Amino acid sequence: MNMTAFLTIPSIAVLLDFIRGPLVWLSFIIFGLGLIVQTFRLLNLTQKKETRRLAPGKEFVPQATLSKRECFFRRLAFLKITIIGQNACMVMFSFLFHVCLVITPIFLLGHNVLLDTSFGFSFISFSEKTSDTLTLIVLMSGLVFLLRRLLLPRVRILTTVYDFILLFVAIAPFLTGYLAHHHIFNYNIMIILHILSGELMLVMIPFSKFFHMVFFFISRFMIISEHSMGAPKRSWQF
Amino acid sequence: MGKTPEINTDSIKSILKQNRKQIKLGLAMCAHCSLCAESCFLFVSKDNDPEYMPSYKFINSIGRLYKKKGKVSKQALEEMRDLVFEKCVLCTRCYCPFGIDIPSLITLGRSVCRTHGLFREYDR
Amino acid sequence: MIKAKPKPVEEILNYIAPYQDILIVGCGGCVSVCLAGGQKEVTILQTELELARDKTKSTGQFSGYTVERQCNEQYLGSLDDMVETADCVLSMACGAGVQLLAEKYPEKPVFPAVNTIAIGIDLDIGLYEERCRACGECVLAYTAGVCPVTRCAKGLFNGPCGGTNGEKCEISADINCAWHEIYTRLKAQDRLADILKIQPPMQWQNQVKRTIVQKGYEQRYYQESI
Ligand code: HEM
Ligand code: SF4
Ligand code: SF4
Ligand code: SF4
Ligand code: SF4
Repeated sequence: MNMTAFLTIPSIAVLLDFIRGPLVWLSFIIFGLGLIVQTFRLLNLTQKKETRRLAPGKEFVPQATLSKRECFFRRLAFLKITIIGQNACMVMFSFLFHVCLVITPIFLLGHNVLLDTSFGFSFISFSEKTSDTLTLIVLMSGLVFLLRRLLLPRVRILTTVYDFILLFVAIAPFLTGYLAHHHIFNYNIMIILHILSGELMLVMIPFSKFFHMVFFFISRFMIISEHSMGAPKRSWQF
Repeated sequence: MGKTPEINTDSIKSILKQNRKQIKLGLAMCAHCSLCAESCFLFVSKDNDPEYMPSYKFINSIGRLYKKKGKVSKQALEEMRDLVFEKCVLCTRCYCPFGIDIPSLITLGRSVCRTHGLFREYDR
Repeated sequence: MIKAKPKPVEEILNYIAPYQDILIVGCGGCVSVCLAGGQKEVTILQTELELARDKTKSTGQFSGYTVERQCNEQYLGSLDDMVETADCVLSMACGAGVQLLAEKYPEKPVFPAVNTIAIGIDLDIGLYEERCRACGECVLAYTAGVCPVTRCAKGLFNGPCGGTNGEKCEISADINCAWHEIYTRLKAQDRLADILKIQPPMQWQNQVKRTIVQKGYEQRYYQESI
């Protein structure tokens, strides 16, 4: 039996309608509520910490004023002590991966059309060519992560099967979306797989290591540590 | 060197229980990305030996104990001693992009080892 | 642990001006914990010195390395080759570490890159406070855990001076009188008798280099057993 015919079998069609309809909403609800609950639970593990204020001491010397140019070169030179200087390649791929991972689905024309038909509103959309490029960047970075995991001893020694599964879960919606859009393999099958993998990823974000999406901001911006950013005022309370 | 006493799973379990949230969070959040490696001067000075990576050290000490619910062999605990005492000086300077507090987790690994008379041997 | 602070870059530039190949050696012990001389500070210092070099159009090559502890020769082996090719060494360890390097490599100039300040406690990230001056005759037992050597401006052993100003020390209203604190804490513990005895003055030993032989190792290091 050919695939398209298979998808029109009545019971299968009902299943497909469920995946395309209620299951989408369900995933978004689990994603949203999950994020809220998990964020709350994480915040509950932190506590406020007083910072001592000292009277200005004699050691306090104001910094020499530097020209803008000098400032810029100093900053550039001191990138060496950050992760950007130490692992530039990985940071670049990771940055591209994350930015594209988040913005592509939001500003994708196809998704916005769906939003518009359901709610009568939509975000601005990238051109199809842009979205295509961004998707390819996600896929390429995913490939870099995969190769790193397979080839670099320092990553391999930490790697578990779960890491591959999660990498696949993160990549799958992009891979299937790309294949569907370009009608590679069977479109109908691909689009179903695309919807399913997107739903799976959404549902997994609050309950897997993808939750670093929130953890990152809490632990780096709210918790006092050598490496924290901004003006954190809290500490862990374990 | 003194002989390791028999493994007392209950004493290990009580440390795991007291610090369950911290261990669980650290293990759950670690992306196994290895970006913490260079922040450990021991990793750098031992020719980038992956066993000196901060994440490797906490995952394979307190992390392993947690996953096995404290049921480990004597030999495994002795190996953990090497990780948390010989391969880490607890300078507390590891960097993780997510902000996982690795030194605290390694400290927990040390606590468990100490309950079994395992610590750093300076005269080895 | 020991607390230290990096020296001003200008001062370090003066030391190293005559030299070409400069090796910066960090320490993974105390100075790493207090963010003064670990691997990261080695890189920071190297970058500062390189920037200064480029600004003044002078020359100079810098390299950096961090050892586990600079105060034990056992951990210095890996430095031999690096020191061999360097013209001078900048040590980021505490004074003890700098001196051991200088002893081990007497033919090379070894300069300190941090100011060793105190034996202290960690109050917060990057905030430390002195608690002990290693006087060698610890009296905390009868002073309720308040060190009169470190905390009393005059290092008095038998009660406060005449200038005590209630809770405050006469030298500054920002400083608590150590003896007031000793008194209150002992009183609360019902141990005031502890400070009634006259304590003999400290037999200051700072003038000579003190050697510490850990308990149990006497046989091994003293010629005559004690
Ligand atoms: C939006 C906020 C997010 C931030 C700030 C963030 C940050 C990070 C950071 C710092 C890493 C560390 C390792 C690296 O640089 O690759 C990482 C890794 C990773 N992230 Fe995110 N992330 C976010 C969202 C997400 C989301 C929503 C997903 C997937 C659904 C995701 C998937 C991954 C994966 C799979 C890795 C591991 C890469 C590897 O295998 O080494 N991230 N992220
Ligand atoms: S940098 Fe953090 S997330 Fe990455 S392996 Fe190390 S501990 Fe895990
Ligand atoms: S605390 Fe241990 S693992 Fe972390 S940087 Fe220091 S020696 Fe390395
Ligand atoms: S050399 Fe000084 S700073 Fe380094 S470990 Fe020894 S005492 Fe601490
Ligand atoms: S009396 Fe003070 S300076 Fe002397 S050893 Fe005790 S704490 Fe240190």
